[in-house]
Amino acid sequence: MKGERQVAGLWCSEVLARIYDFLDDQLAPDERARVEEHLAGCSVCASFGGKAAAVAAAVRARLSDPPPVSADLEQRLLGLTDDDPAS
Amino acid sequence: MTRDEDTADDVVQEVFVAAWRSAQTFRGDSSVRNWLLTITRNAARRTTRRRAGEPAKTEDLDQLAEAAGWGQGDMSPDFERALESRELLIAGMARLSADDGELVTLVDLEGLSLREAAGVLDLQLPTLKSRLHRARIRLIAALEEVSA
Repeated sequence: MKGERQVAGLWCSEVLARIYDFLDDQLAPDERARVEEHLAGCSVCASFGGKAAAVAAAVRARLSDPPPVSADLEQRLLGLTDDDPAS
Repeated sequence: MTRDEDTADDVVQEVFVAAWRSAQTFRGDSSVRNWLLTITRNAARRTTRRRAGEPAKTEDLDQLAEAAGWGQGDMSPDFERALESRELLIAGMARLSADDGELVTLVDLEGLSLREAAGVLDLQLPTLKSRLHRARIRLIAALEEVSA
């Protein structure tokens, strides 16, 4: 990776490999502390980590509400309820 | 999961029928939500045809990250605007493969825990984490493209 640095004993590529484990709180405390220290000293990784977190949050915030059910689908589903489920 | 509204409507109908018919056999081993998600996933798989000959994506993680803007500093205003736009987020999701879209949907959209998503997808947890990691970075790269 061009321009990567070693900060807090971790190369940027090593932080990249752990960034979602970090965001998902999947790292052991000592490893989490090392990643945090790297992020505090590396603006490149800090920016990318912030971006990764922002995308995950945006997906959740903007896409979790389902789109309205189309009239066609509503009619199809209502038609199904007329059927006997045991048949 | 299907990235296509008409296909999604068909999947909803199939899920509705499957849930209706099998509700009495639901044993309560998992939550109702995860049970429905498993039914939905299976229905989506049946309804959606995989693109023939789709190559396996084996990009190097560093290459993926650079495509996602690693090393380019803070988010651009266009990228920030994309995160505010449901349409652009959907456009970014639509650029993912079916497998990547499914992973992101279950975890980041539906909010399943990693362990729950692994159960729904019948994957070992480390495998799920590895695939999800790449899928999420591919989504960032896709959003870079759609926001440009």
